[in-house]
Amino acid sequence: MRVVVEYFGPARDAAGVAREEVDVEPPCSAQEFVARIARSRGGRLAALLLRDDHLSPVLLLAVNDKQVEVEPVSLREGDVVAIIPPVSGGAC
Amino acid sequence: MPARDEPLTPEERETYEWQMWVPGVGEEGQRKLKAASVLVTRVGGLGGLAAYELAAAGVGRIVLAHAGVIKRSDLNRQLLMTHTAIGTSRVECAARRLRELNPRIDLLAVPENVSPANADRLVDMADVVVCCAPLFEERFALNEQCFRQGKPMVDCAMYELTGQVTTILPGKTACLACRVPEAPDSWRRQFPVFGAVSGAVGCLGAMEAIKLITGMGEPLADRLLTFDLRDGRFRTVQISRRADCQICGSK
Repeated sequence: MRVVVEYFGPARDAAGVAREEVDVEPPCSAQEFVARIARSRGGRLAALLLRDDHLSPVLLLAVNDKQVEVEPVSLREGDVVAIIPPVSGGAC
Repeated sequence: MPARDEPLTPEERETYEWQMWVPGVGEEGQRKLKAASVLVTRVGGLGGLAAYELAAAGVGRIVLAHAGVIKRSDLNRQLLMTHTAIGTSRVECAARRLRELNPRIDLLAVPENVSPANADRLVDMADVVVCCAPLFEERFALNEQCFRQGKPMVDCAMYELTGQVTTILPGKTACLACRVPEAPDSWRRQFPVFGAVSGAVGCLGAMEAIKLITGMGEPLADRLLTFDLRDGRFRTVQISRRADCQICGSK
């Protein structure tokens, strides 16, 4: 199946792309899918999204505009996965 | 707080006439704004615009908290600061500019950044908090105090060309610690910023505060608006409370 991935904030820069379509073999959870992307790309994206080879606890993931919580969320054809690292840019 | 629940003067009616035409505002909404107090923490590229819009809208009392003096490198985005005031207090300059814009409102300039030591005192000064801090530690201190004091907090953040805005209703919606349980290792105090981006986020945050005060519209409660102005992508993500949240959780 094919899903859409959108990168926001520092994730966009680290991924080098804002939006992409990715083929994934079902069944696959959103959490495992994003961890796989981070591991396969490595570098800054892995540093941003992973901690000890697992997804960072501060990362916000959404599937079709709904937050992915602790329980695995199974991906389906056409899902949009948004990767949203927290930012704190304010009034320095 | 001197919440001034008083009728509008003819001069105030004339000043705010165009926004009182907005459905759901009217004279009653404007009186609520006049009676309200808002804390804006840091008044640079983001908070400065939030404070500017809140002052223009006639929020009766605005508390500005920001330490330090104006540097030349502030001026690409901190629209309340001026070249002639370089080297002088940021928060005093901001208050002066806001008084020029709207002399009817009370402004309190506090030359401090938020910390665990002063967050309780600062949050106690206002009905609504607009968080525009550049450090997660400041956001966490505000988030915790807003939860303890039952005050709504509008959380505004940006990075480069992206923005994030959400409104936290203590005990009802996801708080900051539900979503960000600890400060990300990767965050740095200095970050790339265009004033048009931080300003856009500040204006969105001001509108959230105006909605909370007047009761008009629907705040971004349990929703995080995120956008990337590089290509015009906007998403509003449904977010949830965590039962094991260290601040607002029930476990």
